[in-house]
Amino acid sequence: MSFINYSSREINCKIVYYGPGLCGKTTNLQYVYKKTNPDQKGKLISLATETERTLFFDFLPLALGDIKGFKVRFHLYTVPGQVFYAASRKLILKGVDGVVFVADSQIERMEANMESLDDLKINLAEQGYELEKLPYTIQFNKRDLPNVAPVENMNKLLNPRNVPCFDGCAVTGIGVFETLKNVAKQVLIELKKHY
Amino acid sequence: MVVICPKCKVRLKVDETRLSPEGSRFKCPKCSAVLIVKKPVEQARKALDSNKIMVAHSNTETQQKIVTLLSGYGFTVITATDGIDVMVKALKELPFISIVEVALPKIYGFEICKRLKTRAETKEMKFILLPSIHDKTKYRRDPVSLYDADEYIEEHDLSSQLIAKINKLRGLGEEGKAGGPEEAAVKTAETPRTEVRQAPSVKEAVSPFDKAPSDEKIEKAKRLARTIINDIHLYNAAKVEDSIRNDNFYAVFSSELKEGKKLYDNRIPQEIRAINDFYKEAIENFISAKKKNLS
Repeated sequence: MSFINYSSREINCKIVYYGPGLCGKTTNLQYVYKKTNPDQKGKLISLATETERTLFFDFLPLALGDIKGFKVRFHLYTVPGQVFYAASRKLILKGVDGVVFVADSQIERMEANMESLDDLKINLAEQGYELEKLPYTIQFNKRDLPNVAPVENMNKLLNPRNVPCFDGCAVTGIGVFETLKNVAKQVLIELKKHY
Repeated sequence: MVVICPKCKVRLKVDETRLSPEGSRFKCPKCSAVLIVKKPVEQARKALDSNKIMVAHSNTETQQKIVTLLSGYGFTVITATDGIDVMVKALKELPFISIVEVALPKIYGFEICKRLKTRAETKEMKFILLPSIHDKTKYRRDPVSLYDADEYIEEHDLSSQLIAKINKLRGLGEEGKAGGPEEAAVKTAETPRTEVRQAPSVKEAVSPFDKAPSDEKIEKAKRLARTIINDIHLYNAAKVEDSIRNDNFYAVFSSELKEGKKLYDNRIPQEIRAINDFYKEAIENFISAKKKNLS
């Protein structure tokens, strides 16, 4: 859940970028970091092992507004995508306020997308969350590549509830801010409901 | 499998694992007629038409292009435009080869391969995957996995490579037909004459989504196993290929495989794991597919 710092009058929200291995979660974060004003962002911290690449950084986007005089600070996290790092993913999901599911549009990664979505639901459930009740946005990334599945099919497979979803090409930045803005907006709406 | 008694028309469930290669005798519990039942795979070998090819593509222009090419070589060609259509026609027409678009509407091409390869009557069917989008000048990359397909061809290579790929698969198929067409799948030696229905009904074929809960769980177990092994490859492509060439994959990736197994055991219920070691099966399939590609 969001953390409120009364002395600095800040609300900290956690958004987790989830998705299968090499789907572009890190690329999303790197693009956001690259394109954000230095005054608005914290240091991009990468907690990486040889094969695992978990990223963390925080920043303060002015455009996202404030709630009753409290500035809203977003902490963006990615999870390690490799399927068997489930424990790390579960840990990172602790206290999540919003989720971005980055799906790899390549046909050959469709099974991995489905697996990752199941994994997300299981890990959230183990923390006492339900995906259906969380601010949630999907990004169909890598739309520039060959062998991409049609959006219609991906929606059917990965987005049966028809939550907001965006086409993306995180390397060039297409869809990156649209995705972030959408999930952030949902998080803010939730916050306003509770405070 | 389901068998219909020709005398009283009662539907009988027969455990395939209990069938001997030469067929097993059963007494109909309702009318006492004697039935001799053989495994359906025997019928599949007999039934696949080695001159028939199915072309499944959502774009009618591309489909027509392939049909014209194949007809020119004397093949009988049947067509389908979506995944459900493929499932129905594959089971009804039993073509020897199916050329399927990867992103076929309703059921993806790779899903179709997987489903039909697990069915006894279409187990021997060969599949060539055809990607839906390709820009050969900008984005050339080989597919990471062919799933259960046998070949892969890009649209711009159709006229130059398709026939060669088909011939290659037909060669393999002929080997697979060693049992000969005279090998009968159903024997009706006893009187009264019995009849065994082994091919599924069209209705059965149309509803691949309506799986029994355990089928769903088995499918999930297989999918998780495949995802684990594909991820190991995704993050260590060169190392994986070297280890497969050197026949030491298990030793090189012992810790990753152990981690993967831990997750698999944790996620897959015991009753599904007891059916088969799908994790090991996925690794073996991956290694053999890679070996084939590398050679």
